[in-house]
Amino acid sequence: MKRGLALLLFLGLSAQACFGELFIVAPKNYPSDSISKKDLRRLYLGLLTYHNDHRVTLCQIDGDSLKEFCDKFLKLDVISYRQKWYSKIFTGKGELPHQFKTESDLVKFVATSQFALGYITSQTALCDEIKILIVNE
Amino acid sequence: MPAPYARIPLAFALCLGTLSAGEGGLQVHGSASQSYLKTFSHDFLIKDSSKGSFEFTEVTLNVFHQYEHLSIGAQLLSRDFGEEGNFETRLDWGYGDYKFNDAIGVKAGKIKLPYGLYNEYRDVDSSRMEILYPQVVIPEDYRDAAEAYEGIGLHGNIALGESDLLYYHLFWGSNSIHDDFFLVRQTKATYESATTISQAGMKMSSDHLRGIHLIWNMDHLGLKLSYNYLDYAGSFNVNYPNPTKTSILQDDSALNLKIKFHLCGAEWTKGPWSFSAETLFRENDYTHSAQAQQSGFPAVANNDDIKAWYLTVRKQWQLLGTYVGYGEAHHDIKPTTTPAPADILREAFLGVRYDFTENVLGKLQFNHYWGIKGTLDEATNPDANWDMFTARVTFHF
Repeated sequence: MKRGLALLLFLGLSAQACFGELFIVAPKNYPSDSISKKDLRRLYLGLLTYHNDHRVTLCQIDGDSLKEFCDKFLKLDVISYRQKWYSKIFTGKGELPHQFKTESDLVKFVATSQFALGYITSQTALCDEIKILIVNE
Repeated sequence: MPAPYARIPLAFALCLGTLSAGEGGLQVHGSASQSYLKTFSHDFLIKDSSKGSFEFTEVTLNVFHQYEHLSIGAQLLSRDFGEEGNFETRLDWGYGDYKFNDAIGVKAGKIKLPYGLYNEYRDVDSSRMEILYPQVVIPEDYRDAAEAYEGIGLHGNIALGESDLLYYHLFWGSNSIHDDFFLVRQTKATYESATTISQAGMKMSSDHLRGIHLIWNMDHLGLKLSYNYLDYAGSFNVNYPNPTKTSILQDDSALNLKIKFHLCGAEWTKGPWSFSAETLFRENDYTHSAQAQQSGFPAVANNDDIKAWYLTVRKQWQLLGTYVGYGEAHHDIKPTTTPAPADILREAFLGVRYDFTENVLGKLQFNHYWGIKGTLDEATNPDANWDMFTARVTFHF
């Protein structure tokens, strides 16, 4: 029953929580249930490092999902996105988002981190320790 | 050599690396690039560049660790650039940065110098399309002096309304200029030839380097506007013989330099397109000591203020980046006169960057120049139309 309710709740949220096939995920105890598209963009471009007064640990998966994430949230191509991060990591202005090979690896990391953010394309990677953030325009 | 305290963050970061390696908290990155530079007609930036030179190599290695509020890191740079560097490993940057939040942070150590939109990223070949930024505003031969400041900086991002951010960086400190910096070498050579003294001792030291950098980030428009002010004071320290050449005199202020820089810039990004433009006004104030004037120290005109600007257009096509640009530098600007043609350098450039893999990229760049200002043989070669070709391969991780 509980699982069924959770699934219904999840399906209800997913229309707002994902853009296309992308879901923004955070640990269960993340201090907010939503994030604005503007803040997400600023965090992933390294313009801001704090969200809800906490330093956020960013996570990413390379490949098609990164391309999709850059297209939808950052309005950038992947090469330009990487160039922006290289300018930070080679000048001491920030650390590269943690990179994972699979979505389940990313989910495992996010689940055990206090203030991590990441994105996934498949709901099958979801687990009880993480939540999907609603992305506001 | 860097000031002793500039080594502290490096030592700390290396210790941190030993302690934290393997825990996933420490990030280690590095790069290596090899360039080929060939000029036609003139020698420029690198001695004998008209014959073609591979003496343009850079290797970096950095460590960085991020805590909740504090980040600490350092980067070593080994560089060969003609007569400069010769693969001596130097601290490129190394500092601690304590951020109370996004709006207020304090950093201390050796910190990349804000000089316009791009100077801080000059060592980061992977972050840009160009091999060399426009020489009229960001000259490569001045890189040693513009590399970093050693001191303290206050910085942050302040929200302006709903959509804009104002980045500020106030800084106070000094900088270390190496003896192989081209201006020191050039002045030493001129002094030695004018006075027939060989092995004249000459150093350049800085009294202060301070300023402010503001970037108004209009993210929703893809536009950023930048203003940068720098105030530098330093001097040439010279050992030279007294008039009777019976003893060596030490003059710590043979030539005093007070230089003020104002830079305004704009960058607009729209999809794969990017447009950037910067203007520079450099105000120079030079004074010689009486001893220096008597000893034959090269006279430097006190009116060589510089106005310069450039415009670059870039487009990213999947893995291929292309760019084209134009710029001008006008030297010896005086309120009542027009600069002589010999004091104007005009530059047009175009190039490509191709990312072979995520870690390997290659670049080609072609520059055409009108004018001879800044060439290594400007005193003897009047050819005002000349070209430069550069190629580079970079690996980074």
